[in-house]
Amino acid sequence: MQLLRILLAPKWLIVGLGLGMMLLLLPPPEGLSPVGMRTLALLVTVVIFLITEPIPLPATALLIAVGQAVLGLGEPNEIARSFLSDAVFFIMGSLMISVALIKQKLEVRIAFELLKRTGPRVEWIAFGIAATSAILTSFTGQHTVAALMLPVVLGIISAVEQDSPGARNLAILLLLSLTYGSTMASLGTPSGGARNAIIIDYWRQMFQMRVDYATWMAYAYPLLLLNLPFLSFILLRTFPPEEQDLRRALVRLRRDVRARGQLSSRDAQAIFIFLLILVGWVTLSGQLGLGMIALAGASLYLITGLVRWEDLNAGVNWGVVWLYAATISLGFRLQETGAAPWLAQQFLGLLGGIKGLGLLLTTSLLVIVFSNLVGGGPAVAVLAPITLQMAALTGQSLMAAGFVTALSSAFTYQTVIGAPSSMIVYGSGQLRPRDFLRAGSKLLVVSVIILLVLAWLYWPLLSVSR
Amino acid sequence: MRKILVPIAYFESCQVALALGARLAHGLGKNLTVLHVVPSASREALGSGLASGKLAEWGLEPPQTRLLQRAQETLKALEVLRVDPLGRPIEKHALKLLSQGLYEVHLIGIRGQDIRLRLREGDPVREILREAEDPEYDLIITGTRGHRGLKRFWVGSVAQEVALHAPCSILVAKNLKPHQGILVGISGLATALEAAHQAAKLAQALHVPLTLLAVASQVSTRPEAERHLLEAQRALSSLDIPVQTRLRVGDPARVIIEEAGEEQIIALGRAQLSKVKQLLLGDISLKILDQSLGPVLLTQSPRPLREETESTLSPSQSA
Repeated sequence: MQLLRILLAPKWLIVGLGLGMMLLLLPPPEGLSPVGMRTLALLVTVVIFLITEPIPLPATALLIAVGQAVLGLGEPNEIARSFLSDAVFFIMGSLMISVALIKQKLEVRIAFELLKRTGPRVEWIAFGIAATSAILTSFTGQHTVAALMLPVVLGIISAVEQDSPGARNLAILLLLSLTYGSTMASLGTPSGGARNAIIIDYWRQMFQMRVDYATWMAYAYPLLLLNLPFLSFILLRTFPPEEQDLRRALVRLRRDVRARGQLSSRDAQAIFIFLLILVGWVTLSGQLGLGMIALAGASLYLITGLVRWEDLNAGVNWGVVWLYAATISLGFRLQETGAAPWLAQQFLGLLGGIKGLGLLLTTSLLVIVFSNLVGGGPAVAVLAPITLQMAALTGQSLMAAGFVTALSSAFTYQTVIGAPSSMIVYGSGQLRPRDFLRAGSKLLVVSVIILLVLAWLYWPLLSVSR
Repeated sequence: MRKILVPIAYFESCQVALALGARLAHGLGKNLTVLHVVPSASREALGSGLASGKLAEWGLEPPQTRLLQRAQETLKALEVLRVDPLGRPIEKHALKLLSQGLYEVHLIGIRGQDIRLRLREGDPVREILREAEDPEYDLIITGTRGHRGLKRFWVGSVAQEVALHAPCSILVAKNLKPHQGILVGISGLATALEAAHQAAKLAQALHVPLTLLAVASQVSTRPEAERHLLEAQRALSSLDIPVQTRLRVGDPARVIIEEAGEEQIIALGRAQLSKVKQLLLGDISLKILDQSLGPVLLTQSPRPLREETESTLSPSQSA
C-alpha cells in the first residue's frame, strides 16, 4: 500500500503525460493533420496540468514552449515570438499599473465618497459597494479594486461588529457585493480583464477584425449595468443582514476616514496618469494596441517615482504572466495547425447541428465550466480559437461568439479560484467556499439569461448600425 | 540549544500539538518554533502581500497571521511565556513585513528559551521539511487532519508526508490527549534503544507513565525478545523513572497497535534503511503510523550540531 501510494503520488502528472503520449501514438483521425494531432496531445496534457496542478503552474507555462519545440510544432524563434503579443504586453502593463495604484492611498478617498453617498441603510451600502467596485473594475481591472476596496469593506464590517458582534450575514453580504461587483465588471471594457484583450488579439490576428474600446463598451457595458441590481437583490435574499441601519458604525467610520486625510498630491498624480492611460485606451488602442498604452502608463508611473521597479518586481506574479503568454501561444498554435477547426467540427457534430442562441448558450456554459477550473484567462486563451471556429463553420457572427466567450468567462462566481477578486477577498479569511456557491449559482443563471437576451435582441441592432 | 518544531494549521489537533510542544519546550528547556505555512496563491497575478499590506495600513488584522496570533494567546494561557508588567508577552525582536510575505516574532520563554512564531508561504510539506533541515531541531510535533482510507489516498496527508521524510524525530498527534502514557516498541535494534531513551525523557518531562513492549513474532523467539526488553530496561535505569515492561507474541505491528489503543502514544525507532529498501521491505514504523488510531512518535538520533561537529572533528584532524 505504501509503495503504491508513493508510486502513484504524482498521479495527475502520470495521467496528464500518459494521455498526451497515448494521443501521440494514435494515428490522426480523418480531417486532422499529424501536426494538428500533436498539438491536440499537448493541449490535453496542458489542460490536465492546469486543472490539477501536479507541477507548479509557471512550470506548466514553460513546458508549453518546450513541448511545442520538442513536438515540432514550430521553429524555436517562432515559438518565442508567439509568447509575446499585444495581449501579453497588456497583461504585464495592467498588472504593473495595478501595483502602482494599490501603492497609493486611493482607498481613503473611495471610502469617503462611498460613505457620503450611500446613507445608513444596509441595502444601499451593499449596492454602493457593488456599484463602486463594478465601475472602478470595469476600467482598472479586478486586482486593483479588490485590493483597494477590501480594507474599506472590512473597516465597515469591523465598525458594525463593535455594535452587534456576530453579524455574519452582513459581513458576507458586504464582502460578496465587493467580490461579485468586481468580478462581473471585468467584462465591461477591454481594460477590465486580460481575457478581453486576448479576444481582441484573436479577432485581429485570426480573422482580421478590429474591435475598438468604444465598440466593446457598446456591446458589453449594458450587461454589467443590467446585472448590478440583480446582484444586490440576490445577495440580500440569500444573506439577509442582521442589522438594517448602520448609522452608529458609519459615524465612527466617517470620523476615521476623515482623520486619514485628504487626497495627497501623489494620489492626485496617480489618478491623473490613470486618466491619461484611459484616454489612450479609448482613443488610440485601435492603432497602438491596448498593451502598448498599458506599458506607456506603467513607465509613466516609474518615471514619476509613484512606484519603484522593486515594488513592481515583488508585486507582480510573473509566473501568472508566463501562464497567460503560454496559453495564448497554444491558442494560436491550435488555430494554425488546424486542431481548433477540427475540434470545432467535432463539437458541432456532438451538438447535432445546433445554431443561433443554442450554440451561444453552449459556448457560454463551456467557457464558464472551464473558467471555474483553470481561471478565466487561460480558459479564454485555449477555448476562444475553438468557439470562434464553431461560429465561423456555422456562419454565425464572429463578434457574438467572441463576446459570449469573453463575457461568460466573467461569470465565475461559484468558486474561489474562478476570479482574482474572489481569491483576494477569500484571502481575508472571512468567507467560506460554501458562501460563494450559494449566491454564485443564482447569480450565474441571471447573468447567462441577460447575456443571451442581449445577444438575441440588442447586439443585432449594433451590427446593423456599424 | 535544541529546538522543537510545531507546524500549525486550521484543525483542532494542531492546538493539542501546540500545547504539548509548549509543555515539552518548557519541561526540557528547549527552544520552540511555531510554523504556519499558507499555501501560495499560484493563480493570483498580484502578490498576496499587496492586499494584506493594505489591511495592515488600516489597522486590520491580516488573515495570514491570525493563526499565529491565536497560537501566541495559547502559549500565554499555558504560562510558558515571559510577560511585561501589563501581562503582554515580551517580544525579543520581530520582523513584520507582510507586504513581502515576511512575519516572524521571537518571544521569550519562562526559562529564557527562544519561542519563535514564523509564517511561510508555499507548499506545507516542502516548507516544514525545509525548516526542519536545521540540525538543532530534534523533534517535530504535528497535528493531523485525520483523513482515512481513500480520502487520504486522494487528498494526501501533510503529517504522513512529513513523517516519511523528516530528518529528526516526529510525533504525529493523532487523537492526542493530555497525560497519555507512552508505549515503546522494543526490538533488538539500536534504533529501539534510542526510541526508549527519547520516550523516557518525554515521559519524565510530561510526568506520564512509560511502558516498554517487546513482541516476539514466534514463541521460539520469545527468549530473545525478553533479552531485548531487559537490555532496554537496563539502559533506562540511570534516568530514575518508573518503567513497566510487557512481552507479547504475535505480529509486531498489530500487537503494538492493539496494546496502545487510543490511550497511549506509540514510540518507535525509525529503521536506518535507505528510501528504496524502506519501500520495498516495508518499514514497520511507517505501517504503524499509517494504521494506529492514536498518536505515534517516530524517533531518530539527534543530528550533530555545528559546534559538536567541530569539537569532535578537531582531535582527529589534529591527529
